[in-house]
Amino acid sequence: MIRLLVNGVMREVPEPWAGESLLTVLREWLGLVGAKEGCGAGDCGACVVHVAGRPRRACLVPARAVAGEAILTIEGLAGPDGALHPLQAAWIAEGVAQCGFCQAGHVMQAAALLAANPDPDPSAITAALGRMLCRCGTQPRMHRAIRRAATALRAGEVP
Amino acid sequence: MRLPRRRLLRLAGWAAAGLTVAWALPRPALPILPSTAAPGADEGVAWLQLLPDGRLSLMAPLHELGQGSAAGLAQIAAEELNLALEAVDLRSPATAALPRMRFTTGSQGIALHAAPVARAAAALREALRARAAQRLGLPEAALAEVAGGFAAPDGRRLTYAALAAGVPVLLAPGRLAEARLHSFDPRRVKRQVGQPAPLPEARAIVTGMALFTADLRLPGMAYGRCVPPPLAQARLMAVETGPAARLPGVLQVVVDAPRGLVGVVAETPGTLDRAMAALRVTWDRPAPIDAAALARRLDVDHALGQGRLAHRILDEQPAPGAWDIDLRLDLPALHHAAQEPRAALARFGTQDGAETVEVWTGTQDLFVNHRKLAAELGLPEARVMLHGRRVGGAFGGRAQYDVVREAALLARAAGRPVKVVWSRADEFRADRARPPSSHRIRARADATGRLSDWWHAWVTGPVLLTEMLGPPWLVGAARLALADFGATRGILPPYAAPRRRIEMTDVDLPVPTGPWRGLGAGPNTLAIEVAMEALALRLGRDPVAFRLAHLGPGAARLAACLARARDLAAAVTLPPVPGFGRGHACGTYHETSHVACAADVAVDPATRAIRVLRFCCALDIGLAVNPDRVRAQIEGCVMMAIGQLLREEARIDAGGYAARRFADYPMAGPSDVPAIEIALLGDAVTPPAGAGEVALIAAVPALVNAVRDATGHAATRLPIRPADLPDAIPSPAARTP
Repeated sequence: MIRLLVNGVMREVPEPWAGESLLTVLREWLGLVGAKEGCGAGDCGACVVHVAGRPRRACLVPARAVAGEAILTIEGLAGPDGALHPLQAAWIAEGVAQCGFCQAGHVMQAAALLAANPDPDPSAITAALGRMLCRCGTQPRMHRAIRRAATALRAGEVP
Repeated sequence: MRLPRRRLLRLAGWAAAGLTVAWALPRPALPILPSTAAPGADEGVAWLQLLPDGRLSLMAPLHELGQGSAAGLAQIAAEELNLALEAVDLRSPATAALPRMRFTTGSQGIALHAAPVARAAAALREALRARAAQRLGLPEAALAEVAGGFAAPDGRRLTYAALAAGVPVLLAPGRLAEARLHSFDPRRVKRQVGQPAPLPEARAIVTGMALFTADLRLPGMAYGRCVPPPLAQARLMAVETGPAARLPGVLQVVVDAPRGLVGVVAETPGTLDRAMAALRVTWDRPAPIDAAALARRLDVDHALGQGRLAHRILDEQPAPGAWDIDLRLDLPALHHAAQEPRAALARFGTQDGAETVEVWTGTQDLFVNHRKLAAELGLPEARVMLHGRRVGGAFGGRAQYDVVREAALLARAAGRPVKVVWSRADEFRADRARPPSSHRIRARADATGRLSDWWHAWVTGPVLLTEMLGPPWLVGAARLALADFGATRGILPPYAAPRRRIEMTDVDLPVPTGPWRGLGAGPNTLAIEVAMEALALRLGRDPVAFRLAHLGPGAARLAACLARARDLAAAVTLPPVPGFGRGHACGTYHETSHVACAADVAVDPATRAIRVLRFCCALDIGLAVNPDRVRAQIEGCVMMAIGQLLREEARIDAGGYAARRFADYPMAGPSDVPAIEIALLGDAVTPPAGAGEVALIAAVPALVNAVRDATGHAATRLPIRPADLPDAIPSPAARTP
């Protein structure tokens, strides 16, 4: 058995689930299915969550390796009152999503970028999304949404 | 059937010592064909009902794949009923709740369903108006439509909730009374149709609440997966189950020899992965693929050397003699590479003592899966219930009956609910990819500079005449009699030419192929538009003007698109230095969707790396029900086109498709994003046509033509690699046609 600190709540994970990947535990044991498994190999980024504030590909992280660390998933990104993170609001305003499968991973990757760099230029955005995949081709709108959210954040919106 | 943990099971033919066939395979008397029937004009009544609280329930008769068509139908229903979009409950289709619906393919979701939805919603509105008039003791004509209800001249209002009076309101099936349609009324100031409404699911998607198939869980559920056969017809020869079966957490190794099914059911996904890796399965697969033989089979010049091709689509006897252009274009197989691996969740139960099964899945054709599964399980269709889920990208690759079958057979064998999610490696290995094709195009102009003779010959793998259509004997017969109607899509050029010959051969391939976004219209329009560019340059003509001169009155909407794309592009002047280029292309999809693109590229003179700078697209699909979703489709097509220009190629090695992970199949990404300008030219009275695929057919040739403009390189194959480009990038002035 291990304990995972997910979205501010300590959760117990029994065997055999404790031996699975972080992504599998989040999705299949805890029911937090926002992060998706697109490839299982770290190639696509649909499974990105934050571990100790850094974006990680949850499909490659053994759950046991992050026991006790602060894990943030897309389900915990909005405020406790349900107020959307500026990135989530920007994503809706720019109409980014098509099929939607990869979007939670992209939003989490972008949230880590904005936490580190509140005013990313296009090349910083490109670098942050560099190894992420969206087959629908929403990259043009993701660029716009990230810039929109960065502006909102700098204007004082609370993440 | 459950197998003892024997070390090695040899299956000579269909049966082996110790293994008995537990039941005969049910064989449907007739092949189960894809669900192609278009909806009737009055069929919409089955999709709509007014809920007791005055909201509208819409079970859209199509699958949501990211194209936004279901949302567009919700906008139409809301327009007819004067509802806010938030007052429409959009539900995913289910076989038990909907008459048999058409498959979701060919960008036809809005085109085929807009009018039936509008008719049904308008009829519902008028039925509610009659109810309101009766309630108020007024003539129907006296009632004004207001948001969510009706108003009397004296100011009294009746909401839909009040009119429903606690009971859902449905229309009886049958012929609908004629009602005035708001959605297509050019005089009406519309609140929904033509507005850039956000997707109803947008908030759920960005908060992690949108549920795809693999996101579902059931009590007692286990995790299953099957070993994909190397080819549809491959037979199982041997299975070594022991190492997999001995792993802790493995619940069952399922071997169903008659069906060629080998699978594992396990307690957790990680255990399942380890067990699948431990299985050893041998198939009677034919000899390894001979690359040279495959290349020869796909070589159009080799085919032409044998005489006429298998199918003459058109022969107006081109005149003999020298050709002004004579070019070859070879296009690779392309993977769908949808990001959601296919998935299904199956649960068996009993009803009145008889077996039932429910399956949740994301597919482009729920009803063909329904019928095939009922036939496979030997159950009446009423005892088989399929629930459609949102699909994480399809692009033509999600109409098959595969994962539903696997989930159901594993769940039946395991006696518990089973969720099957394909691995990424299997997604690539078993992808029914876009077939490779090889084109030879010859064209000639007469003394006045007009196109006079055109000869397009090509060889392709099958697109629609595949095992999806039926058993091999039927498909074989069909392919003898018919040119593959998926591969021929878009083959007729829009340009006037008096003498054309169009012929093709569809060849068997040792890898599975099938429909892919745009089907044949992608490769065919690419070949046509590269040839028109080459011919114009050869004649010393401006390529856009040359095209416009050959677009007759029947192609006026296409010509308008081309002129607009040219004008949009021309607002920016390319720097007069080596490496910059602009290309144009246009095309019509399904006769009613028209598109033109202009692309600007820059080629680095040192590295010869190609970068797409800017993209202008003019589209005419008639009424754009949701212009923002139409733009999103165009942007997606632009990104996919950049991938085709630069990277996408499904490599085939001795064992079939070679890619096993996304890293093996590079596509366009965030560093490739160009500036994109879009003009929607459709008017509000032309019925809406499809938008999901059309931009792709012109986007790729616009890029190829731009690279030619920048470098002088006349591509003979895609993708274009830096090494294909000339060592020295010519200066603009030095470029000669």
